[in-house]
Amino acid sequence: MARAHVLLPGVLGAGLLVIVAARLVLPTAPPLYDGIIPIEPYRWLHPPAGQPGGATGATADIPVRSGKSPLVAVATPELEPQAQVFAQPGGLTIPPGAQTIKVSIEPVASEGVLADGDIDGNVYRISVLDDAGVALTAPPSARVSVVLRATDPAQAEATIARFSGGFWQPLKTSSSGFGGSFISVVTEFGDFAVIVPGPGPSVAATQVATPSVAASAVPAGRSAISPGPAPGSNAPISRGDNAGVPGWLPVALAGSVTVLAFLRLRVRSRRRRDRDRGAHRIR
Amino acid sequence: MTAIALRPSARIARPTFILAGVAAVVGLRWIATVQGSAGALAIGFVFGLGLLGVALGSGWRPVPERRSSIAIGAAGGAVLVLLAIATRSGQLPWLAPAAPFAPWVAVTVLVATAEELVLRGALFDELDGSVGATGAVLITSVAFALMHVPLYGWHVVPLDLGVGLWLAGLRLATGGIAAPAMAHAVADLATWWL
Repeated sequence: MARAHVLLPGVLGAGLLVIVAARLVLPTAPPLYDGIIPIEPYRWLHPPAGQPGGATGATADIPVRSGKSPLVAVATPELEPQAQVFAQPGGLTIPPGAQTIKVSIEPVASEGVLADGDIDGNVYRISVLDDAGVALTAPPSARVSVVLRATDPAQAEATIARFSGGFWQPLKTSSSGFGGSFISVVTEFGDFAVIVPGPGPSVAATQVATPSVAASAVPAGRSAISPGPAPGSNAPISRGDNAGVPGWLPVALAGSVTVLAFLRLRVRSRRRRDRDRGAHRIR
Repeated sequence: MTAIALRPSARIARPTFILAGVAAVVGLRWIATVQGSAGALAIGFVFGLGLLGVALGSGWRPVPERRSSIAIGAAGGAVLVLLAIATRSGQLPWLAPAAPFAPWVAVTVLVATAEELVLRGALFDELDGSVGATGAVLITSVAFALMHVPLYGWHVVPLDLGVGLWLAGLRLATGGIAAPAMAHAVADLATWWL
């Protein structure tokens, strides 16, 4: 116990230091530590075999007050939402006389093919319009954000891309901190998708996108992005994660390991107890 | 009273089995979540029960604690919440978990308590007896950080390592798991309002 008292200030201090450093240095830290954040299975617009469909969108009409854009926080209804858009009050550039901001998030079929990387999940069409149907924009300083969720909650690396002028333009992306969700600051809206590392269709490899201002956010070898219609191509292509492995196998293996481990533990405890009793009897 | 020293292999075996049990329960939770076997709250409930099973199945039992441990734990949890508020980026307006409040509270408290019982309780005591208090603090903190990786990703490791150290500090300060369990539950429950 005396050693514990010596350790105590160091352990508490180190804990605080690491927490503060992680929160300040890493922009991807989750807001707290382990809340039960329900994460539903990803819902697809065009589900691959065995995956749930039923992806839905979200709409909102938000009144403009005092000529300034209001807080915009619209999310699709899944847990965790698969697509979200956030704008702080005053973040959107709105024309004079606008009374309402109409926000729409809609899953749509993919329009593009990637040379390097896969579109992971659905493409989401995000539109933010005023009453007259004029598309609203935002200055970069407003940090208006689009958040998209990858299909795998443990996805660590991904890039959000915007489909523009026939090309998928990668945006500077960071993890939002929860369940494979990623966040990008945007200045315009349109079609957005999560791009994960992986081989894309080779047919597109000769057509390289015009480098965008955000291209520096894409790791080396990931900048070749090409146009070309491919309806329904939003399913991941050859992810290879669990190829050929039946879904029940890892569950059965893990369950068996648990049962064996605890049977062995109980046997050892019983043996030790028996030994203890024997020692007492001898004494 | 004559103490019977455990063989070196036995000193390592028990913590290893506890860690293997935790890893198996965490793996099952991840598989169930990814495959959509059940709702998140149901999976969390079974996850909590699984961790309780690991803690109690190891033969470990909690010891009676002083009432002040609860107050110390509440204060420790408040520190975690204040740190989260003070250092949040403000870029993203975090939303409350979209789940019914009462079941969410019950499952959150169950999971937080079960994690503390198995890590700062059963595993800590075993390690304290075999590799010492410093090793117990470090190993339980690393295990705490790693067990969150499957659902939240590798980027949570630094933060959860720090939180693990903080909770281990509360364990050292009070000698029991009531304080870290209380702090953990307070920090997790604050997610609803933050």
